[in-house]
Amino acid sequence: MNAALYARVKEQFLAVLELPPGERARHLEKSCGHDAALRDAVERLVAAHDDTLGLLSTGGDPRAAGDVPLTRLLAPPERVAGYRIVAEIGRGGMGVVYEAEQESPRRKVALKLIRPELATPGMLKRFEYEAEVLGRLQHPGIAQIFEAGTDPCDGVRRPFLAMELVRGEPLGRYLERADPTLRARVELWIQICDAVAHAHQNGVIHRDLKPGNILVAADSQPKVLDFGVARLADADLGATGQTQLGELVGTLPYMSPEQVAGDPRQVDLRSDVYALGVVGFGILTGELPYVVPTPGAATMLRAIREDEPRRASTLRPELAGDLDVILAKALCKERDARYASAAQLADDLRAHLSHQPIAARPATAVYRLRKFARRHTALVVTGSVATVLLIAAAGVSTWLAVRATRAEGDARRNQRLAEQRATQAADAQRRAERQTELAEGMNTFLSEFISSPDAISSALGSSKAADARISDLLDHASQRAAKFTQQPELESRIRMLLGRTYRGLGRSADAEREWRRALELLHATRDETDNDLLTTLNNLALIVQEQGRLAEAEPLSRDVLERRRKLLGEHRDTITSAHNHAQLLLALNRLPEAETLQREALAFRQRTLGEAHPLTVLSTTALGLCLRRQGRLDEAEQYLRVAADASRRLDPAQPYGMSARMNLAALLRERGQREEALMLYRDELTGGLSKLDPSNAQVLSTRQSLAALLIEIGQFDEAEAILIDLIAVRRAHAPNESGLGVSLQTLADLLLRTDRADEAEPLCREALEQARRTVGESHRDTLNALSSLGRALQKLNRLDEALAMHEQVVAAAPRVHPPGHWMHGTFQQSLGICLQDLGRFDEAERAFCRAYELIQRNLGSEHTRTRAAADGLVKLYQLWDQPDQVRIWQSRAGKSPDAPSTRPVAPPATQPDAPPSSQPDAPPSSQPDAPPSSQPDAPPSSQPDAPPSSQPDAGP
Amino acid sequence: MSDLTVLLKHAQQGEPEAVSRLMEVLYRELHELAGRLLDSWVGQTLEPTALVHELYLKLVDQSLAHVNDRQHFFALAARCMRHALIDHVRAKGRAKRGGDLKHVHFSTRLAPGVTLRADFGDLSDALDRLAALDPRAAQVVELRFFGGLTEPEAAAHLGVSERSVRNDWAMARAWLRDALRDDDGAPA
Repeated sequence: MNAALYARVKEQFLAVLELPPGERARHLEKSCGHDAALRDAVERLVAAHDDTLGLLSTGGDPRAAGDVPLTRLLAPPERVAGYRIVAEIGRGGMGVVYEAEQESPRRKVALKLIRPELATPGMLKRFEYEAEVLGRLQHPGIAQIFEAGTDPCDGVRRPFLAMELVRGEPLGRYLERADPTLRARVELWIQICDAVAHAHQNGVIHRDLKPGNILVAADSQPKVLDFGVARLADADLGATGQTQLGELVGTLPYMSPEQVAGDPRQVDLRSDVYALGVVGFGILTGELPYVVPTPGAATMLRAIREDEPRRASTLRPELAGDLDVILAKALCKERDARYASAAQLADDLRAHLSHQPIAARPATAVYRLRKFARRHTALVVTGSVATVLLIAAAGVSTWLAVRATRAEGDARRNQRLAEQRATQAADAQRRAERQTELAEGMNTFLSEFISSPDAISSALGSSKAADARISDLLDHASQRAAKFTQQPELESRIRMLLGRTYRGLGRSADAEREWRRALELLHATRDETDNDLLTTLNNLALIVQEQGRLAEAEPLSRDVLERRRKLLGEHRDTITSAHNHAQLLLALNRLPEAETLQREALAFRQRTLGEAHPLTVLSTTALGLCLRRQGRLDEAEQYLRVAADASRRLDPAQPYGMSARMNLAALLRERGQREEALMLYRDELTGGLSKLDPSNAQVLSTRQSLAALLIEIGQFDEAEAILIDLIAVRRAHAPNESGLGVSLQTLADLLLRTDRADEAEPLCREALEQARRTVGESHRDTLNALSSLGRALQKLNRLDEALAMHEQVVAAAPRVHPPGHWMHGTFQQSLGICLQDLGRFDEAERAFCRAYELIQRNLGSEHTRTRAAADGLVKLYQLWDQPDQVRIWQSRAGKSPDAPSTRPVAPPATQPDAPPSSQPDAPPSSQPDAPPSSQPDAPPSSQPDAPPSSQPDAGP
Repeated sequence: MSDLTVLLKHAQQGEPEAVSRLMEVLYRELHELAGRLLDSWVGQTLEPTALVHELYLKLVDQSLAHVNDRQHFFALAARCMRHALIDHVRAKGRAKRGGDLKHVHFSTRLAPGVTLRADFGDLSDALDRLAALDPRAAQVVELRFFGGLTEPEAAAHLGVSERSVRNDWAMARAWLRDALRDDDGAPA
């Protein structure tokens, strides 16, 4: 070759290199034309270039390859086992990958030839085993392994893997070239998660997920490569040479904190979940979740271990919301806080795309309603925009009602959105749904009663008007639905829908009516295992319960649980039902049954979700409550502390987390550890709760508990101010709830303690009235109100009336508290004081002794309540003039036996410590110590349809 | 300050005499070093970058040298290296094996994880042919193969753009690969 030709060859060669492989031939054709020498030279160089890596073989122990002739090192082998090598595809630390042809069956494969120096006997053994496991993976998202074996080459056994030949481009390049939409990116991520989930189900952990191991084929199907391969080489690659260090740089950002820490025993499915999070972060934002000031392994290692990942929305604002939350959960430093598997991550991504609530997000009422509205806008029944809007409007208006401050403009935007979606979806859906008579009937029905779309749009204009108009429309619809008696299938669907919409508007009684009718029709037309039937039954049980008819709700709720057990076995929906039923049993005071169910739910959730999951916290709290209500305070404290500790790893405003801490505070208060309880309440009110509205149920109940505690420790002024404010808020916002009665009664107790019995009496009577109305006769609140009234009357010296009250309390108590509960002791004590005031000392003595025994047995000798009980006896014996007994009981009361033994006669006996009147009224349901509510995994404000995800809420 | 360190500083400031004297010293040292290594390593693999590095540590006073000095040294050493090596190998080869050079390989790290292996005699011959056609490309190969310089370092040393270095490097690699394939008669 002469210099002139060389110059032209170089010029053309460099030009060709810039082109993608597919266009090179055409370029050469054009630019070299008939100059065969030039063209030939350029083609040889291009071929050599593509093969240049052959000259640059990877490192390794030089001695292992040193005696192999040069040609062998430079040229690929011609055959490996039953495969004919076609071309080299790429190289990595493990070896070289060739395109190869298999003879039988005849197909193209990717053949990975492992570097011979890695082939130690231990490695080969592991290789065979792993290859067999990997061979079982069959998924469109996984490059399948066909065969693994070893091939002797110049006396060296070289292990090889034959796998599916994937023609595609690396993930990063695909994203750059195709620039998919956000939705398509999320879908791509889901496909990758699905592939990894398949491997997980087969017991294979990838361990080395990164964009370089993901190819995207022409049909946009991602393929994950090199499953489990990292494991094959683990032990032998342990000593990190130059090569491995080089590779580490590319892999490092995808390694989880536990992988970085270097303990292989800590690496499990959740390490892949972490890597999927980093991959997903890259798919959505094009960047890594960590920014390191200087490149390099050391800073990256530190970032992985210590830095909070960036929020994806800081890079792409449209990722704010679910995707931010999902990414953050996948990228948690602690494995336990991540998704438990790739499948759960994929589930949440799907939930996000279909506007279902995601599991990662603390479910607030507003969030769920927004999802509800979005879902129904998207659901878009068909044809007429107006029919769509009815459903959309129902959702949107409830949402608006919740967020009354929302501007009008937003509502209009929502409406426009709904219209756009409606038009887009109309064509496609019309065709599909026209095929089913059912959908047709539904459309006819819905469009019939909407006179004009204007009604809806003007209704949407303002939230208040919307409520009114939509209620009218619904009532109208409900009447019309009756004419479908000949089409039970259609009517049942309409009733289910109406029920949900009524429920969304807070019209529980109407919702119940629709669901009852739907259930009747479903029983007649459907299989007993039908999903709609189960959903409706569940909704009905919850709405009956929500209206306070607990005994009536119980068989319904049990039915749901039993059906789910039979249908699903041990499944998260079954566990949700178990939890709900347990909460109902707790409210019904059927404590051992409730405990059994809660233990089952807790065990399941610990196993499947880990400790720091909101639902596990919920179950732990609920079990703690069951135990507490049975008077098993040590066990209860143990569980509640676990729940409260775990809750601190959650969002401070997470309702289940708050509930855990508040229930712990209530228990500590009961056990006399008042300082710690006080601190918990104050922390909560200045922390997570400070952002909420003052009429929020959780805020109210926490302030209620704080006030009651302040009374116990004698800070009456602050308590009184809180209670007066609380009562005002409750009268304004929730005049028909039991909370008002509780606050009234707490204030009454305060007045009694500060010698204002005359003011207390009317409050006690109102509290009693409120309790009877809201929670019924056999309830703690009613009992406490009765007891307070008794003490008020006693102080007003109306002793006979007072005695009647106390006797009523003692008689009713066994229906409320289990036998042996210390609360019986406080009631006995109140009775004793009344008897003592009446001068019936022997009866009083019996009552006091029973009181002391019950309290001491439950709370221990040192508890203030126990000492107060002993003090009651001291005073009785002083009045009765029995100095020996006085001395005995003085020591039990923790007082010096000498000092006040000669106390003059009878000041009216001191009050016993008031019974814990305003019981720990824990949030947020009306059940004093129920955790949030018996709602599925639902937010405090219950919504009967749609617990976390799979819970049907079946639309039409 | 050792003589060589001073020499290096002067060479770096562009004094032609200093450059040629430095090259002489380097050649002599490398030749000797290569000889010592090859005597015991025949049939084994040499790492020229390691040679240069060893030489640098031996000859240059580290406490007085700057990063730039080091780079300059490596660049100069790289250019001496091939000649020092080939002369030695040829002399040895003639003496011991009648000129058969096929069994001396060498390798050099180009980047983390990428190492060159080639038969030294063949490579050197091919490089000579390339130098006749495209001297700068051959220099780039020397700097990168023997001195372990990065693209930006080579560009700085040759006073050309990084892009030119990248192009020369791509061309040279393909050209050498093609040439070596011919020599070995290996399948294309």
